[in-house]
Amino acid sequence: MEHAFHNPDFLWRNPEPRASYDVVIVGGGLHGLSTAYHLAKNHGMRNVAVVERGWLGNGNAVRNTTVVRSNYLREESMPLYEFSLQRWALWREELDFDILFDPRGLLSLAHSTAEANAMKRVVYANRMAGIDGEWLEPADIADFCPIINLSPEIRYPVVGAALQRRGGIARHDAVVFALARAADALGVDLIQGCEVTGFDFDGNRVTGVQTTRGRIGAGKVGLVGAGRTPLLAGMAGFDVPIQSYPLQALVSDILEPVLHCVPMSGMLHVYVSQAHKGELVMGAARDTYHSYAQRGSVQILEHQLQAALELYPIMSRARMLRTWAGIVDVTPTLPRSSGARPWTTCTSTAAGEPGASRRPPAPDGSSPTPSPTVPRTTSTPPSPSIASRPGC
Amino acid sequence: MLQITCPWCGPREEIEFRNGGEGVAIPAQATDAEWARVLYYRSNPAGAYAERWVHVHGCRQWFHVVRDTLTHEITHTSPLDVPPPGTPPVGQPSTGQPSTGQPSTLQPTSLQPSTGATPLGSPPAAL
Amino acid sequence: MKRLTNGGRIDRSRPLTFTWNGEPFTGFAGDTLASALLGAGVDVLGRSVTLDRPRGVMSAGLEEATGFAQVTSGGSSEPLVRLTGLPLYEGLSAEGLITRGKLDDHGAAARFDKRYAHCDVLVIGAGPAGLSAALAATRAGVRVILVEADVEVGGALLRDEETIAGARALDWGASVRQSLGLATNTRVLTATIASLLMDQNGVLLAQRIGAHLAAGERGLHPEQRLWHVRARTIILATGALERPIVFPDNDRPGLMLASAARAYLRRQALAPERGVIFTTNDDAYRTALAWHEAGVAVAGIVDVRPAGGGALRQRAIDAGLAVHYESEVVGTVGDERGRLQRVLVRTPTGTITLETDLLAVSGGYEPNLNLHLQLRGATRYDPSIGAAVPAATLPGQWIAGAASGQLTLADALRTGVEAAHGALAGLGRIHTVDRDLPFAADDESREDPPAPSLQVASPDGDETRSFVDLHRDATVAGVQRAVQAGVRHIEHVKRFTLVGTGVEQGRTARTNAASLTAALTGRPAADVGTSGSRPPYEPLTFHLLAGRALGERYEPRRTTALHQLHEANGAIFEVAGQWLRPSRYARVGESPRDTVVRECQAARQRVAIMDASTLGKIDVRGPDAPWFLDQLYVNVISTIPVGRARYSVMCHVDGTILDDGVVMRIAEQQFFVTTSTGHAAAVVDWMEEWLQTEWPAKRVWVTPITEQLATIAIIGPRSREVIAAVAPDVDVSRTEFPFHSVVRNVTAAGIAGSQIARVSFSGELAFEVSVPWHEAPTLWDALLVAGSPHDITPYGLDALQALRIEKGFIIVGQDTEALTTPFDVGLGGLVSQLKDCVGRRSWERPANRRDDRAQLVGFTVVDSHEVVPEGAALTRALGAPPMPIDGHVSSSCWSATLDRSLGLALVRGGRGRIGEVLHAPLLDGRALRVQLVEPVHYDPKGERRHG
Repeated sequence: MEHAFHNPDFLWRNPEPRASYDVVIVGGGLHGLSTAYHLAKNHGMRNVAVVERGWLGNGNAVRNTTVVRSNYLREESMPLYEFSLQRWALWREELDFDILFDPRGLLSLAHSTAEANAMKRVVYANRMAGIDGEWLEPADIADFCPIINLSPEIRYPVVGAALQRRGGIARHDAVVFALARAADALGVDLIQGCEVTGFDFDGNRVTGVQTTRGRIGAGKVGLVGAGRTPLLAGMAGFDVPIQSYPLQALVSDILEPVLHCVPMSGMLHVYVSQAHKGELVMGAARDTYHSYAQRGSVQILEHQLQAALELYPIMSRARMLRTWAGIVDVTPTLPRSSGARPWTTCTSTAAGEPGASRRPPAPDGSSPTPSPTVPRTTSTPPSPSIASRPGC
Repeated sequence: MLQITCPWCGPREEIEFRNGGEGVAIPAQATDAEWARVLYYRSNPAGAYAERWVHVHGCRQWFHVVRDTLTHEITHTSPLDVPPPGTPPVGQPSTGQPSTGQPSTLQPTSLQPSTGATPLGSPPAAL
Repeated sequence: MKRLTNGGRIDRSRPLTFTWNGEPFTGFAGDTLASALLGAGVDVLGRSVTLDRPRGVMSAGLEEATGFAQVTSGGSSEPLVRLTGLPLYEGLSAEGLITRGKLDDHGAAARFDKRYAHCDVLVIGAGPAGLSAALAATRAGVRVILVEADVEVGGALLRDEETIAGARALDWGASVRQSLGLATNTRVLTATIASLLMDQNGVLLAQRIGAHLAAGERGLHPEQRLWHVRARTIILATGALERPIVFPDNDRPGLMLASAARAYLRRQALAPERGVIFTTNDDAYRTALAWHEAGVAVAGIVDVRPAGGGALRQRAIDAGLAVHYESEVVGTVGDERGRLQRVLVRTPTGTITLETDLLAVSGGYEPNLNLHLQLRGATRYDPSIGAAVPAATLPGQWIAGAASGQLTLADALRTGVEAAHGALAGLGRIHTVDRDLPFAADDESREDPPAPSLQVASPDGDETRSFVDLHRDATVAGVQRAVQAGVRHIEHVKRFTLVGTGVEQGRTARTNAASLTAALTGRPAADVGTSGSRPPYEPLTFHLLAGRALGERYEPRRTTALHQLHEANGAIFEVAGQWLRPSRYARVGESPRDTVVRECQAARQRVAIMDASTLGKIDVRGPDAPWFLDQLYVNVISTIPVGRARYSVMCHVDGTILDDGVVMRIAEQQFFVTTSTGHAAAVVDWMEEWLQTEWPAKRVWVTPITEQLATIAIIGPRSREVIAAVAPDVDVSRTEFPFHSVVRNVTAAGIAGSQIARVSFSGELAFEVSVPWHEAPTLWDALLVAGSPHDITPYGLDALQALRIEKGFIIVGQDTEALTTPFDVGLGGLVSQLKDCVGRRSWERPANRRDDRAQLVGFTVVDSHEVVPEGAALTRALGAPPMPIDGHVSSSCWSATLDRSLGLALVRGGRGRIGEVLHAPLLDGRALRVQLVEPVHYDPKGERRHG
């Protein structure tokens, strides 16, 4: 018998939008829901609405690969990620909802000396910040994750791995439900099927949003529509240094357990976990072109599965049940080590330091508190070489 | 996978190409703020998008593509010296020469026809 | 079900034995595993996922939601194979399971192929619409591919008994199949599923080949083959899927879709003892009539509609079948194993009980639009069939037959031809269309309109046994609970109840879930819609998508011309991008550190050689080449005299370092550019991009020659003597052949056309000799001979690292980060103030001028000979975390030359912190102390390179 994913008896009201709110959050994904929840919970702001063009969580919240971790490189951002990771461990109790957060260990595989050194650098930096990190030699990897092919004969043998034991996975649908329910219970209006079509200003000050369900007045507006940030910002009259790209993922059929940690290979562009229900959840490199189409190109999947079978031969007969793409907002400085980029074509596998951002920049003045979910819930970049970079 | 029509080689699979993104015109002079826009800001239309690809595993020529970012429909490809129809002008045309004096910088521009000579290797006329 | 003694399309002369859950059974050629099991009386296949209820086969095709098995015959075990799609073969062995597959380790050696094909018209689905479309297109002479998921073409024709042009529909289909088979412009692929639709009319097809054969017949066949098809036009003739009806206890073994019951009768001669029909439409009457004609008892037809005047219904009345109008099945009763025994029917005059072993259910048909929806093709809700139908087609696509929402055979034949005409017109071939094709069904008799999709309320109010999704055990009660919780959107219903998340992705569940949601929330069904369709249509085996590009074929392994010599010399290799390069040449009894020390000592004290062939080499020539290189490099290239060289750095537009290397001027208009190994391709691409996009008028030719020339570095105080010995014609004296000079077309080791340069990445007197790739072994051997008096020693990357770290030379990517500018690593002195270059403007940005940027420094380890690990963080304040991070160790080694542990680091504001002592905490809890020093540890005045 399968573990039944148990939902509560009540999730949310379906209110009609009021004439105005103190804060209107644009985007009902994990970031938007979390921002609203924390505004209400930590700052006593109950007159808050989340407006969502589709249904709650219909963007990257349901398109990610559910990985949660805090093993990022930069001193400036590590505390934020670590704070977030610690929040994940508390959420089950705080939100009274089993989000199936499972810190089963995140294993970053290195395939060359240069890559190993780059990964060790992350481990050293994490230790400085008090974040757990270990370095495993191949023999240790065999103990920790027996299905990895550690043969020196494969094309890119595994030479070592960085391990963050507290990293893991959570159930994405449950997180959406949990945050939405908690926000709703604190009085936040969750308004679905409500697309923002414009913004009202009084001089330089925002006064409301125009939506497909009418105008909604707003004291402040937060934009948290990852994957559509440039479009929303453009509507509001400012530009952001972001481009939007598809990032594909796939799941297999439901299978007996074979994988009990989250191994990632940045060099071979594949990362995989096995969900509680049993499906293998896999992510890859992002596509190279700007797109909002929520689909990518199939050669990325083919290459990803080649990498998967190189590393995990046991997965030969697993099957791709579904595939899709989320849209990730990327700063233009990102692509330096990940293939295509606006200007150049460098393919260095050494310790590149690209600047990925899976999320919109902090909405200008409109988001009083950083949302703890921001860093970690949406589709997680696979490799420590895709870490966030402060400034540019 | 996209299928892209190289202006020199005809329709080919995406795996033969590399995406070059949007070209940006180089201002002869720029304040720091203007230069930051050159470096880090791109148009992000939901719809027709003028970008460049290079047939890296084929004729190795760069060319213009207009692709819809919502449907991936490709409505136009052309050699670099044939700008896509209706392309909005982006900044000032590049001179093809580095400026002197004021420290300007070089940046490939895609949306400007350059001086008009055929690219290296003189590929055949457009198909 | 029982096997009839006559009829069907099975070959009774070819019995096949198979194993199910370890027990042997027999079926016939022409069976699927599902039909063979049904014929053998195995009707309970397993237990359901969460509620542990018995389940059987509920369909005969792609609708299957419960009949899945682990197939263990044939090499590796294959999980979750749909029983209704698996042809029976001799020796087939399977284990029943419903929801959870198993993986094993034996699959990696199997063969999965890929093929690539192009066509003018791709027809997906070979039912009546697809066959007529393919025939019309074939006759027009264009290239056609017809794809059919089943093992034979025909689709609905295989189960129906209509006539076309006076012939049995099945015979018509066979004749079309024959015509297509004879046509050289048409390919028919059966057992092939179009699974994934790509942009620009690309389609992934999964063809099962060896996987459908007995072990002895597989031979060299691949298990499966993945087709990448590019079609100029696509005709979707994917038919319609029959929808179940939701009612209490609708999940027992013995319940089946009405079309499936008919297919099992017509194809595999399987029939119940006593069947009952429960329907919302006329089509299910065909099943009743087929049973009746085969002599099978029909216990009743339960029709939710009032009586009507349709021809099919009249035939049933005429045949004397008991029809209960305006009636519903409100429950089922099973035997001790859960198998259907009787159904409870609520009629206008009261509830009756019908004894039966098979209830054939039809809740109507809905277009199978998965591929259309994968690319977000438009649909609209059609109330007449209670489901979504296409509202528009995608570019270059047509939709024919039942997939278009037009469900009759006549519609299929007509729309098939129309779609072909449309596609041919799109191809500019309309003039060749044969308009005389006899595509009209003979039976155009009227059918009564169907009732909308149906969910029967439980008489006792218990909706926990009325199943919406049999695969996921999702019930009406679950949907009710979701709505009560506030869920409104169908995608949330899916995620709350798990409807549609199983192997078949809710193919038969989604419309019922949507109808229920609409009813429960008081909205029109059109407003609720259905959950989206993500690709693929049918699951694709990982190995199939991976194909053969595994192991040695995963990616090319690049080796130099000297690879075998290195191997013979005891080299230990390391991965450097695609290349394999020696990291050291171990001798017996040496520790790795011993080896590196020995190799370094040879270089510093005598002479050592290295295979430097992987370094990127580019020939840049043309009248504008000097100007061009001036733009890309930060220093001036155009003033390099012919025969001389210069170390140079190139930057990205944002001012960060792209690569470094030595540029040699071979002639007035010709340069020999070297790059780091990892950036060889990137630099060529970078040059091409600038030339094509920015300076197309400039006359510059860029030619990568990395693999044309092999290069061997000869370094150390004795290197001049070795070079003099192998190139006696070259004056290698200090005055005639100074540092950073190059000679071409000289003879070295007897190899004409060699190039000798004086460059140094070790600080020692050093030369690089380049020869045609295939001559490298000759040169290597000659150098070893010439150097033997000086104990010439091959060295690898480890020694190279130590030598260059001692000299403070950077490796781009190791001692630089993505944001590192030349100024950050002490290369600002290279930058010319006299010219513009790529990246220059960006250096002016405030962010690039901050004095707390990460800057390159050297360090030495204080009071220890231990080597600091590369990557280690440096801090000024050792203590409990969090500690401030002042930088990190980018390169580190034991310097035998200087008898200390030292390295290079990127430290915040490092240039102003020389002399400071920082701490490097180690993973074992200890910490080393390092003192920041100038990056050049050895020979700071650079005198040794002159020899």
